[in-house]
Amino acid sequence: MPPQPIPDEHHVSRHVKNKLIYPTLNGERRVDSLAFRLRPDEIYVSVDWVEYFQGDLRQQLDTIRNVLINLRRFNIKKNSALAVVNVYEIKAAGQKGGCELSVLNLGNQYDPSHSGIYGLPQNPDDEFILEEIAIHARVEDAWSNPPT
Amino acid sequence: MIDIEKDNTAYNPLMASYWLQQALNTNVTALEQQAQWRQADSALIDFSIPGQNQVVFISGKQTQTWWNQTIDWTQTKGCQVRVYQTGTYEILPSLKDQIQSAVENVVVLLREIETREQFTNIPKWLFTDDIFKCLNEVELEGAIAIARYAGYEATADRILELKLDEEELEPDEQPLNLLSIKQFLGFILRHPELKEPGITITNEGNVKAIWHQSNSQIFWIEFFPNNDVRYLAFVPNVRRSDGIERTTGGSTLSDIYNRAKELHAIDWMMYASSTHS
Repeated sequence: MPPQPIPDEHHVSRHVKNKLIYPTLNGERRVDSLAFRLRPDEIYVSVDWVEYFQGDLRQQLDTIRNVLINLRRFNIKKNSALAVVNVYEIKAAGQKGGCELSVLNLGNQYDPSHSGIYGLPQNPDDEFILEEIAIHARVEDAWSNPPT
Repeated sequence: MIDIEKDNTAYNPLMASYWLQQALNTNVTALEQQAQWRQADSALIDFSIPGQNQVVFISGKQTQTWWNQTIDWTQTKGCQVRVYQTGTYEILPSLKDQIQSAVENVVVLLREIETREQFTNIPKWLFTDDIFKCLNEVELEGAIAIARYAGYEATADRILELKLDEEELEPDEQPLNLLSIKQFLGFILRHPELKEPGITITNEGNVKAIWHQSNSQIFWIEFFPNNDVRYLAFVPNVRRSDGIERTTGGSTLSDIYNRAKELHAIDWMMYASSTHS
């Protein structure tokens, strides 16, 4: 099945290491825009469709974390986070920077929430598009009950 | 008087700022030295003068004989000096000039005291200058200690945390770049009026310092090892349709502060009153 657009009112999450999480001057946790930067060989930034899963946000994120660990073999450390962003905000960030972003579900029966943000710029001068996405991201702990 | 030699915490460099506070706020005539934290090549020296403590942080390698001669020499200058070492005596190169320079500064300080009824603070330039000398010489642990020593507790904690997180780097991730960290620390030490920023690390291992007040007030600087910087600014601009002016670019370590000023980002990057020291 070809990639499907995720509704604007829904959200996607991205795993973020501790090194890319910082406090604002008011003490709120935020994510560095680098978390949304494409690697040289990538055409999309990998995310997960939050509303695909049932439950409240915490339950949805716990499920996504387990998918990342069990299906995609991520090493999710206790101090890492999941950055949650609204799909509409991602598209709006692209529009402000003059580029069209799309958020598409790439899932299959084994990994149904896997999605991607397409159209992100590679040029460092377009960094403020990534910044616009990052400032709309809500930072949630990757683990609600960290493993001991 | 605190007998630091009976207190194990004196040898913990993470306590350096505590000891500094003790020295500045009381008449303690001793300060800890922090030579032994993974590198036995640094020392804190306390030049004590009546009613004041002059603290100089230095590092290098020298012999015990040299230390004895140096202590004798500084005492002839009318200053009491106590040098604390916990490491081998084969420590400390290129130190003599620094000590001589520091003692000369203390002598100047003494002269200033004679002309004033009360002298309550060590001149900031003297303290800052000595820290810069050290910063060039130390490894990562020393850089962290200097940050803490200068009062940047959150910064020191964060760099230490990021170092500990390095155990599991991915193939495209570089370890922390010491030169980038030093560029960053040099910048904040030169500008104590700035609030402590949030810190992240790029995949290249560079420090990115982020002053984020609100979604329309953001200024970050990525510090490269070679004096170059990259920056991004979001600043309020009522003439734009969405009220935010956005700028990214490259600059240099010596120019970036003025760039932040030109963009009026400094307004929220600074403490309300410049009391941080």
